[in-house]
This record gives sequence, structure tokens and C-alpha cells, in this order.
Amino acid sequence: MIVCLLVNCKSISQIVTKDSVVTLTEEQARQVVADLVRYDVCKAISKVKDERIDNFLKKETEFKDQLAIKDSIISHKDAYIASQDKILSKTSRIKFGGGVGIISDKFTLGLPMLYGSVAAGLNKFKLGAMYSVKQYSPPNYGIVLEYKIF
Amino acid sequence: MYLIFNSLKNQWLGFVLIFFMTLFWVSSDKEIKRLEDKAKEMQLVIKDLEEKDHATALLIDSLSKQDTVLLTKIKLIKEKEYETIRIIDSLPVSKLQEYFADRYKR
Repeated sequence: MIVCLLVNCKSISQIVTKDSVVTLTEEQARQVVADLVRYDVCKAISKVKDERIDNFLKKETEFKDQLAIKDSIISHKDAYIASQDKILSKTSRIKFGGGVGIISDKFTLGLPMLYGSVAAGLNKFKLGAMYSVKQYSPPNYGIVLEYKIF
Repeated sequence: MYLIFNSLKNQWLGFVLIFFMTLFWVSSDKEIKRLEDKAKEMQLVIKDLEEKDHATALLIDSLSKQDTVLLTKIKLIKEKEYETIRIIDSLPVSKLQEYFADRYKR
């Protein structure tokens, strides 16, 4: 069977004059239609792939933005931790303490002296007050300034 | 007044030490307050950045979903192509002529 076509397309026409009649066999016509369908599909897929490329480019930009944001979060968190460390070091610099004890008179058990002290320590220095009581003597008190050697 | 002056005179070392201790305390407190304010400020900035990060993550997620949709679209187009090419073999000649006529309208 023969299919008669009126075409002006050079690629499938045998004679190049305008409005020429081109004759194709049915098989050829079917192949041409199949090729045209494939061409349409390729165009459609190409359009969708262009959309995908745009999508990927947008995603790339967003990933870069996200990376910058995450870097910024990390640097801010580092600064926050450093700031908290500073606060901790400042607050824990002064240490308070106190205690009670007995001091003997030389190495004998007689006339022991009872004492109590409170002090605030800063690094190697300790500053405080001491109150002591000794039998047959009036109570005594004073300021204690101590430097830690070891 | 005399008693206070006398007490100051007798206990001058204690008062000097207490004065310096208080001074150190006050300055240390001020520094801590400044650092705490800075930390609070940083926390707000971090919160803001985390919100931005969350929004970006959502956007990336939506773009990924969009990509899945596009892939499905490509799959459908290919399926349609396969169906159409399969139909071409069984098309009558009149339909073929109609196809060419529709495609290359004058």
C-alpha cells in the first residue's frame, strides 16, 4: 500500500520543489511516524531534564547556603562555649572554705588550743579570719593570709 | 566617730584587705555579667541561624521531592512513547495520513 504525502520538509522529500508530492511506502510512513514520536518524546524529556538541571542548580545553591549557615552555627557555638568557660573560670576563682581544729602546746596533750577559721581562696592565695580559744587565756582572733607552696 | 576612727587605725590591714577583696569581687561580677550578656546574645544568634538552617533544609527537601516528580514524569513520557510506537504498527493508513495532516497543517 502506498501513502501519499504533501510535504515541504527537505529531510523526507525526494524532490525539493514546493508543494511536491512525495510518495512513501506504508512501512516507511510508519517508520517516519515512529521517528517523529521519538523526536517528540526526546523534546519532552529534554524539557523535563532542563527542569531537573535547574532544580539541581537551586539545590546546589541551597546546599552552599546551608553549609555557610552550619559553619556560622559552629563558630558561634565555639564562641558561646568559650564564653561559658570564661564565666566558669571567673566564678570558680574564689573558693570559700572553713574548718575547726586543735593545736597542741608543743608535743604535750595539755593546754590544747581550739580554733576555727573561714577563708576565701583565690588561686594560690587564701584570705580569711581565725578565732582561737585556749584554756586560761582570753580568746584570740585575727586575719589569715596564706600562700600555697605545694 | 572616735571609736570608728580608732577601729580603722587598729584594724587597718583588715580593712585594706576587705576593701581590695570587695573591689576584686565587684569587678569580677561585672565581667561575669558582661560575659553572660554576650552568651545570651550568641544564643539568640544561634537560634536564628538554626531557624534559617531548618528553612533551608525544608527547601532542599522540597526540591528533592520535585526531582522525584520530574523523574516520574520522564518515566511516564517513556511509557507513553512505548505505547504510541506499539500502536503505530496497528494504525490504519487513513490514520497515518491523518497524523501527517495534523502534524504539518497548511
